[in-house]
Amino acid sequence: MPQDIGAIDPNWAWSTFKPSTEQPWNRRLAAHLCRRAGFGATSRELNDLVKQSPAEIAHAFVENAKQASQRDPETDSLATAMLATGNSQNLAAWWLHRMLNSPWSGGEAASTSPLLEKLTLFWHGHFATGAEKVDDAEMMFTQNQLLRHHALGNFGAMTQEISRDPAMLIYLDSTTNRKAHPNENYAREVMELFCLGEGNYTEGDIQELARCFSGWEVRRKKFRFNKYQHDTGVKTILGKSGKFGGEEGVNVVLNQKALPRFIARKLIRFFVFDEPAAPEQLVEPLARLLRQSELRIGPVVERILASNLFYSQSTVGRKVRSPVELGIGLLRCLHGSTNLELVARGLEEIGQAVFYPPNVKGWDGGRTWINTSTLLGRSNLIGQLLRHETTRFAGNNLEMLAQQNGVSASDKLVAWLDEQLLAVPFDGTARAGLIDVVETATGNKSQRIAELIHTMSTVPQFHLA
Amino acid sequence: MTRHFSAASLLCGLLVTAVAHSNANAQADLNTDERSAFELLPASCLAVAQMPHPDQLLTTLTEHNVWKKVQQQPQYNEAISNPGYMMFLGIRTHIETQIGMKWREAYDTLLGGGITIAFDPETEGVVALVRSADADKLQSTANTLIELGRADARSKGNEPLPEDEYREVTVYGKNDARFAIVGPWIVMSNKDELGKKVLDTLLDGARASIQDSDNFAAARKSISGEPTVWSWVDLGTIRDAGLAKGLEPNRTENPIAELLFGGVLTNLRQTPYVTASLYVTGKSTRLELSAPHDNQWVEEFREYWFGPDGNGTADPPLDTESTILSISTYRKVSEMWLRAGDLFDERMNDELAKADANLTTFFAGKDFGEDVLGSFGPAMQILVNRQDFNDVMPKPALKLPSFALAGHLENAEETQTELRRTFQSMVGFLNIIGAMQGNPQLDQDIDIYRDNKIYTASFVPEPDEKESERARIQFNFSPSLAFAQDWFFIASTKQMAKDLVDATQNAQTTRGAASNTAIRLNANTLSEALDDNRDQLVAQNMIKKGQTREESQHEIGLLLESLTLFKGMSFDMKTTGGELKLELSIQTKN
Repeated sequence: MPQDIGAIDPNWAWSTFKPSTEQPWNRRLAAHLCRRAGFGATSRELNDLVKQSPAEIAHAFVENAKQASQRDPETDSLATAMLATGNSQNLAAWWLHRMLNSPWSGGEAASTSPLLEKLTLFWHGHFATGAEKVDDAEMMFTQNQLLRHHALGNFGAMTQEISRDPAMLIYLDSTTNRKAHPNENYAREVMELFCLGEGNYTEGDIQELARCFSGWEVRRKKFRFNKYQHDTGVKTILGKSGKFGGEEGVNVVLNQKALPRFIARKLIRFFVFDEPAAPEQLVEPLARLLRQSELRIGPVVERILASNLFYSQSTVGRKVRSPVELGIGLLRCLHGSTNLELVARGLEEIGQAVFYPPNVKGWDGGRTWINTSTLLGRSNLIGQLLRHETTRFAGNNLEMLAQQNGVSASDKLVAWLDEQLLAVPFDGTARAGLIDVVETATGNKSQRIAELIHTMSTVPQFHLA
Repeated sequence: MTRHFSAASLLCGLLVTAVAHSNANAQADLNTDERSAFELLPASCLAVAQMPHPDQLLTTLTEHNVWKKVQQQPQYNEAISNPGYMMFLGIRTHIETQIGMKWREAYDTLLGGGITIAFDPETEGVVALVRSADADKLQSTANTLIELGRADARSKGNEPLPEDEYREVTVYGKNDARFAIVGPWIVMSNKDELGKKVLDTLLDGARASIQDSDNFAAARKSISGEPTVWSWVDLGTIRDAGLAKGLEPNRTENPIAELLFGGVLTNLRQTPYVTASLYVTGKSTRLELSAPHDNQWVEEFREYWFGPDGNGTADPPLDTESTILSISTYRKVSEMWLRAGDLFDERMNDELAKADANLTTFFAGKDFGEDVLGSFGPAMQILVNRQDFNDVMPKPALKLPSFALAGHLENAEETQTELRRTFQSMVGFLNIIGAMQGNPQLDQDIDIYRDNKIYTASFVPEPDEKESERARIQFNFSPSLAFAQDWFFIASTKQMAKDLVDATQNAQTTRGAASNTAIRLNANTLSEALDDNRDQLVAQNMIKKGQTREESQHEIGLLLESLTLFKGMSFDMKTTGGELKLELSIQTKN
C-alpha cells in the first residue's frame, strides 16, 4: 500500500535507493525508471540496465542527456527535411521520431536521449507555446531546440532566452511592447506560470516587470530591442529597485526564494507522483539542491531518479500516463515502429498534440488525461497502432517479437507483457483471463497477440505509469 | 522472381485444367487442325483478346534487363528462400517428372499456339481457347495431370474432378467452370451454351464466326506489326444495345477531363469499334488504342479540341536537356471557355461565370474568355524541368523542379504589353501578401537574353540567408515572363524562361510529333530531380513508415535505381488516316 505522503521522511525520500532482498533491483523496477525518465525500454535494454545499480543508471541517464543537449542540432537532417515542408504537424512527427528512437545507451554521437526528450516535453508544457497561433514551423523548431539545449542546464539561462524567443512572444501577444502601454502578458506568465506561482507576487510587480520588457519586440520573426520604446525609468519589482531592463527584471524574479520551490514541485509532479501535491518538507530538499547548484536542473533530476521515494510504493503506478507516454511507450517497449504522422494525429485526438498545448498553462496532466471520451480513444489508439499496415515489431511482427524474447507460450507471453508494459502487475485471475484471450482469439499468432495487448489496454491499470 | 512464379502457377493451372480433357478417340483427326481461334468463336461475340505467342512474351520478360535487375535484389533472394516457395519448387519438380517435361518446355508446348478470350453477350459468357503447339503432348500431359489432381483430391477427401460427355467429347468440371480438350485445343467457358457452340464449330467445321464480321475484319487489317496482345471491342453494337451509358451525350462537370479527353468522347460516340494492341519488347512496352475516326462526327462545340477540319496539331515539345515532363496540346481554350454552356453542367457554368468576372477584373477589364484567352494560339505546352542549383545561392532545402506554360500569341505586339502589365501587377500583389506573412519580397528586373526581353522577379534573401543551403521553399522560384517572336513563356524561374527561349531558336532540341496531344516523361531527369531531394525522401519515408534511416535510405535508393532502368514514357494522341490513335509507350534501357 502507498505510504502517507505527509508522513514520509524527506531524508529517506531523497536518499539514494539501495536495492535489498525486500526490494531487489530487477527488470520491473528498471522498466519503472525508463517509463518515468523516458518513454519505456525494450526487453533487451532492460536486460542491460539490471546489470548496473540504480544510482549508476540515473547518473548515466543525466550525463547522456546533458551531452546530447550540447550537440549541434544543425546535424538533424530529419528536422531539416520536416521544416522544408513548413508544416508544424510534420514537426510533431519529427519529435515523436526522436522520442521513439533515442537510445538509452547514449554514445559519443548520440544527439538525443530519452531523458532529454522527456525533459524537453516537460519544458514544452512549462513554457507552453502553441503552433496554431505562432503559425511558423521554423520558430516552433527553434524554441524546441532552445528547450532541449537547456533542459538539464541552468534554469535562469533558459528563462532569459525564452523571454526573447519569438515564438513565445508571438504566442503571448507580446510582439510589440511600448513604454506608453507596457504589455503585461509575458510579465504575468513569467511570475505566475514560469517562475514563482500564485501568491508570490503582486499586480504591481507584474506592471513593473512589464515596464522592464518595454521595447522588446518581434520583427520579421526575430527578436528586436527598440530602445526608443524602452522605459528607462526606475522600476520596483519584488522589493528591488533600479533602472531595470528586461534581463535585469528576469534576474530579480530568478533570485526569489519561491522559485526553486516552484520548479522542484513541478519536477516532483512530473517525475514522481501526480497527487497529492508534494508537501513542503519533501519539496524543500530539492529546492535547496536547485539553489546550491545555481538553478541547474540536471542534479535535481538525478537526485529524483536515484531516490528511495522514486522506487517506493508511493511512486510506482502513481501517475496517469500522458498520451505521449501511452503511444510512444507502447511502441518503445515492444521495439515497434509505425507511421508517426498517424501517431501524432492519434495523440491529438486523446488530448496531447505536441507543439499544440491547449493554453499557456500547458497540459494539466494527471487525472485530466482520463475522461469517458479519452478512455475509449486511448484504447482505440492502441488498437490502431497494433494493427496499422506500417506497424512493425522487432522489424517484423508481434509473433517474431515473442519468439525473439522466448515467450511464445501463452502464459509466458502474458507474464512478459505484464512486466514490459505495466507499472502495476495483473493479479492471477486477470492473467488467466488474458491467457484465455490469446488462446481463443481468431487470426494468426500476431493477430492474437495484438488482440491480447488491445484487451490489456482496456484495463485501468494499463494507463498508470 | 514473381514472374517466374506467376508463369509457373499459370502453367500448372492450365495443365491441371487441361488435364481434364481428353477424348483421344474422337478428336484424333483434329490434331492437325489449322483453323484460327477467331474461326471458332461465335459471330455474336462482341469483345475478343488474343495473345498469339505466350512463349515469346515469357522469353522477353525473363530475359529483360529489368527482370535481371530484380533478381539482383536482396528481397528477391529472400523471397526464393522462403519455405513456401521451396515447397512450390518441390511440387513443380514432381509434376515435371510425371509429365516428362521441364515447366518451361511444357509452357511453350501447351500454350505455344496462343490464347484467345472472348465475351459473348447472347450467353453472357466468356470463352477461352488455348492452342497447344503439340496435340499429342497436350493429351498425354493432360491425362497425367488429371490423374494427379484426382489422386490428390481423393487423398484429401475431396471430390475428384467430375466429367461429362458432349458429342463424345469429355467435358471436365462443373457449374460455371468447364473445359474440354479437342485436338490441339483447350476450350474453357463459364457458360455451357457458349462452350457447346465452340465445340460444335470445332467438330462440325464452318459456321458463322466472328471472323465474318466486317468490323472485325477491318480491325484485323489495321494491325501494324505483331502485337503481343491484341483486342477488339464492337463498340457500335454495344452502343446500339444501350450498354454504353457513359458515352451518351451529357454535359460534364469536369473541365480538366473535358480538356484532356473531350475529343475522345466525341469519337467513342460514333466509332464502330475500338482496338487495343500491346507490344512488349526488350526495349519498350507500348499500348496502342485506335478507333476509326471521321471529322464529320465532330460536334461544333468540340472544334476547339480537333481544330478546323480535324487538323489541329500540337507543337513539337520544347524539350531541353533538363526537361522532366512536357505536355504539348492543341486546344483552342478560348473557344472552350466561350462554349462552356454546351460542354459543362449548370453548376460548373456558374463557377466559370464567377471565375470569368474575377479574371476580367484582374486583367484590367479585358474580357477573359474573348480577349485574354483569345489572344493565345491553340498550341500550348506545359513543361517541367529539373533545376540546377550548383551555382545558385541561397539553395532551398526542398529543391523543386521549375515549370512553365508556353504558347503563341495571336497578336503579339498588343498582347505582350497586356501580359507584361498583368505580370507586374501579380508580382506587386504577391509582395503585399508576402509582407503580411513574413515571406521574402520579390525584386523585379528586366533581362535581355538573345535579343528577347525576360521580365523577371527574384526573391530577396535576408542578410543571414544569402549563403544558406537550407533556404525557404520560395527560393525555388523567380517568376518570369518572356517573349520570343510570337512565343510567350510564363515560367517559375528565369533560367527556365531562358532555356525555353533557347529551345525555340534551336530546332535540334525539338522532336517532331504531329499529334493532337503529346506527353513526354524523361526518366533520367526525373530520377536526378528526385535524387536532388534524396534527404527529403528518406526523411518522409522514415516518418511515414516509421523506419530507421538505414532502412529508408535503402528503400529510396532502390526506387531511384529502378528509375534508371527506364528511359522514359511517352503518350501521343493523334487523328490520322481515318483513325483516332492513342499511344502510350514506356521505354527501358538495355
